[in-house]
Amino acid sequence: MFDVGVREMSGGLVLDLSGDFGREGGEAVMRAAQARSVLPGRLVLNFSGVGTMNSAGLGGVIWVVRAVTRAGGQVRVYGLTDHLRRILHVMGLVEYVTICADERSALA
Amino acid sequence: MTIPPEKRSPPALPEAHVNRPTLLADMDRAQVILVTALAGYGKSMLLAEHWRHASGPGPKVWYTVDRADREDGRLAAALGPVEGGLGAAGAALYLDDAHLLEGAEGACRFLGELLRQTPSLRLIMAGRGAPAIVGLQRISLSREVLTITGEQLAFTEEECKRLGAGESTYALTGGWPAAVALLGRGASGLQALLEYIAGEVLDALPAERLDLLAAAAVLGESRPDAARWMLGCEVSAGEVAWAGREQLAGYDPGRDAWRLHPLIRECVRQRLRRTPERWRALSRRAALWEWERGNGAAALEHALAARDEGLAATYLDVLGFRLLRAGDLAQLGRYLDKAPAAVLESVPDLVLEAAEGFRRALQPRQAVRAFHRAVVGYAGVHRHEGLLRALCGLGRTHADLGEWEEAGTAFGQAEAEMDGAQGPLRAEMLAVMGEWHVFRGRAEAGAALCAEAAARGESEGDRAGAGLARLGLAQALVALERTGEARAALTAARADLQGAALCRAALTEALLLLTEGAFDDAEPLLRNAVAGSPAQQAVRCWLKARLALPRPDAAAALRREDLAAAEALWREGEAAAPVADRPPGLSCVSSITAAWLALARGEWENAREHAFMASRLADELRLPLLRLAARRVLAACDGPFQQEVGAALHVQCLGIFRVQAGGQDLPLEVWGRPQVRALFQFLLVQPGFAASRDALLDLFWPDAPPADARGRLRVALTRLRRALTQVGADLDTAGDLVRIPPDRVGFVDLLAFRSHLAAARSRLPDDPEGALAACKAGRLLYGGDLLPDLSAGWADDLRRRVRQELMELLRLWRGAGARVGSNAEAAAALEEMVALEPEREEEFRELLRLLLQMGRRGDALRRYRRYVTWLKRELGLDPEPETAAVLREGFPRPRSR
Repeated sequence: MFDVGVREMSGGLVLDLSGDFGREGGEAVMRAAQARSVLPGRLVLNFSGVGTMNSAGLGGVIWVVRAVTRAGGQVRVYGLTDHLRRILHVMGLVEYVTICADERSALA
Repeated sequence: MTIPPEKRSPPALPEAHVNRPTLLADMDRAQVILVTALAGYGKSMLLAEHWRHASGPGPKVWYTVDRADREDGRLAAALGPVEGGLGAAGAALYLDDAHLLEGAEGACRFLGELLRQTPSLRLIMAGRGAPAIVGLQRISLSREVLTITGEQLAFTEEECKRLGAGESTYALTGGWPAAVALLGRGASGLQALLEYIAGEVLDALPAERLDLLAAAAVLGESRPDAARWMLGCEVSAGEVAWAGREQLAGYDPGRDAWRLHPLIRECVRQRLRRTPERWRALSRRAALWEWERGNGAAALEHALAARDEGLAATYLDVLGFRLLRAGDLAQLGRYLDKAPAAVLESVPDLVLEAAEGFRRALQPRQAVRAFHRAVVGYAGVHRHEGLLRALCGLGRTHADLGEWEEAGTAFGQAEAEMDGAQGPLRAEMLAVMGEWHVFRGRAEAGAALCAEAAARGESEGDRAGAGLARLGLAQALVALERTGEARAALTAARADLQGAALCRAALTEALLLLTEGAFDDAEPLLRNAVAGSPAQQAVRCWLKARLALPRPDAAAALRREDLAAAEALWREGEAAAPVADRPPGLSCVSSITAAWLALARGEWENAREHAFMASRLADELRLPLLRLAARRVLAACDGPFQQEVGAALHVQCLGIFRVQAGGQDLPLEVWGRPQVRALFQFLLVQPGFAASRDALLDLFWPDAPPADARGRLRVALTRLRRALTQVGADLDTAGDLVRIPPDRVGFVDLLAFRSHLAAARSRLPDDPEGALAACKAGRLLYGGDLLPDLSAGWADDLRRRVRQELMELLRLWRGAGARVGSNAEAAAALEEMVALEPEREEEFRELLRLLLQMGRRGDALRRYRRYVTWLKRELGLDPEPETAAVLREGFPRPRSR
């Protein structure tokens, strides 16, 4: 079961992700981003609650990253385990997102 | 009416004025002279020079025209009465900026009347165009009229050189004097020059002319049909030719088109980029224009400039597959480097094929970049099969490079995706996973997966898949020391495979046969193997070189011609797979062959070093067959030692402490106690493997009473001698010195490393290629910190010193790379330096610069981000402004108004 919590913060929109990040997760992330009429200038993805991630989940992340960066915004992530960090690196996503140590630095 | 004095006097000639004697002589012969050229061609200077040169009896009048002189009657009033009159013999009227009178009917009538009434008057005019003097045509029938244009005013190449300008300046400017002068001021000169052109030339042009220039600047040329397409309106040939008349463009008869002067083009493009929408719109039209005409490369460039990702992806897809079919990976690589990530990810099939091509062509870094893009591309569109292939390709490439952590992540992700794979894809991926398990030392699991993959392939009629799976199975069987079964698996694989895969199977089997001494069986395999990629060509040559050397059971001595033939084959292999960017697997095979060659020549030291390097590489790569082959040649290197006193010791103390004798690792139990081992390690790193008893006492028993300490030393030395004797070595304790006889120590990696460092130092001034080779050999030997598990003050000190020596080696490597003109080598050295000491921000900046120069912008950006994160996390710092500036230069932002 995958869940996406949405928080509006002064530094950007935060999506709190939890569960195993598969196809359901990828689609949930896309829906959460699409629910806003205007894409945020900064989108922060909180991976603290994410267990595993496969390509279907990654596809959702890629969609959101592309949409936000094309609209001139930025995507930051935090809460990555070493394993997830390596996956993002191997998948080449580190070029599109900024990995931050915590929420404070992600919203700074 | 008051006329400012500066309008009445010619300008002063500058110090660096280039005299024009020929033009002056021509001007002396003419009565009406029109000097017309663009701004900055020295028209005023030519007039001023003639003013000073002319020595006639009559009055000379200089007048610099301005816009106010267009008013009817003003020019006549300004010129006013001239002493002796303009009608006097030898009188001359110099009019500068005469083009400002264009369209001023009154002034033009006045000048025509003046010429008619004063037949002896010389009229010398300079301007960007000639005013339409009334009656000039009629006057030209009776008087000499000379027109001097920009072409005649431009500096020759020789004149440019005399002014200190280089060849590139002449090529860029065409001798345009103001441009040459401004460029002479360096980098800021070019920008100043473009601003000059913008101000002096472009600002005065009407909008429709600027549109024509814009279209020509984007497309690269101007023709009526092209201009009509670009601007979407009617354009006549006459309008297009205007740029030529204004000397802004030159006519190219081969293309029947006008090409803008490069500086004009650059200036217009710079202006256009300040209006991104317009720039993109024109670029898009140019892309469509070029594509229609079959100029795919130009079309792609324009589509990228237009940031039209859809169009660029379409063109890239077509061009890219064309290049793949033609085998032109170099050009394809350039396109892939230029295209933004979003474009690449929308053509994942092309990028995946390109990645696999790069991997086969020994371009692993490029392959990794391309596999990354393919992974993101496929993941973004949920194309599972492609994603799996891309992940496995990425994992294999990282494994080729010995990057195990990255390979593990890629394979792990692939394994997680395996459930979705069916049919031949599943069999292929099972085989890849099987190989991966073998890499990780899980040979049984690897063998099982590969056997399953082979069975699946056979049952589904996928013979190629079954064959590839059997290749993986063979490696697993070698790891399990079941070499007979491995040979059978390889023979079966060859029956199923074709093309490059068949060659791979044949070469793998040949290597196994040669390692096992079955030369007769290996010979036909090598003879018939048809090498596809450069890597396969190289391996084939090296194995043939081994075949040319004496067989293990041969009684006959090596013939000189056989050795020469073997050496020639080895060199052929080296040429097929150049050292720069060579994957470690190939380096391993090369080193194994080099070791056999050195043995054949009787060069034992050389042979041991090559064998040791091969062994280290094979261990890093974890490829069972290479490990077996490396072990065999390492054992052979003991040679005479083995016959006389037993196996020589091969010692590794960089990165790990490991002692081998006869190709076998010595177990830790040989040493008995840690202190005995530490004693041995200390002696090994001393010059001549010797130390005084007093030094050993101070080091190992500093606090013990002297008599106790001496007793403990005696006991430790006895235990050490016993351990060394077991492995055919010895310990000399006669006198005050304790020494391991050097002739019993075959090889110590630290000594070999230092030997290469010394060679690199001495070769760099005169033989940078040799220095480069020494640096790379030295780096290969440095497996890590000295004696990493030993915690002792002396070891810490020595460890620090050896790290400094490594840093020196890396600096020499960087320098040698720069000397031989290889950015890749210099960058490789800098990568190592920064990895070793990340706080070296200057070196990191240099690395960024090189990566950007090499077109590896994505790599540069990734490294920069990682560096920023590291700095923040470890040191709580931001990068220096200069570092960010380097990156900004590589990613210029479009200017906004």
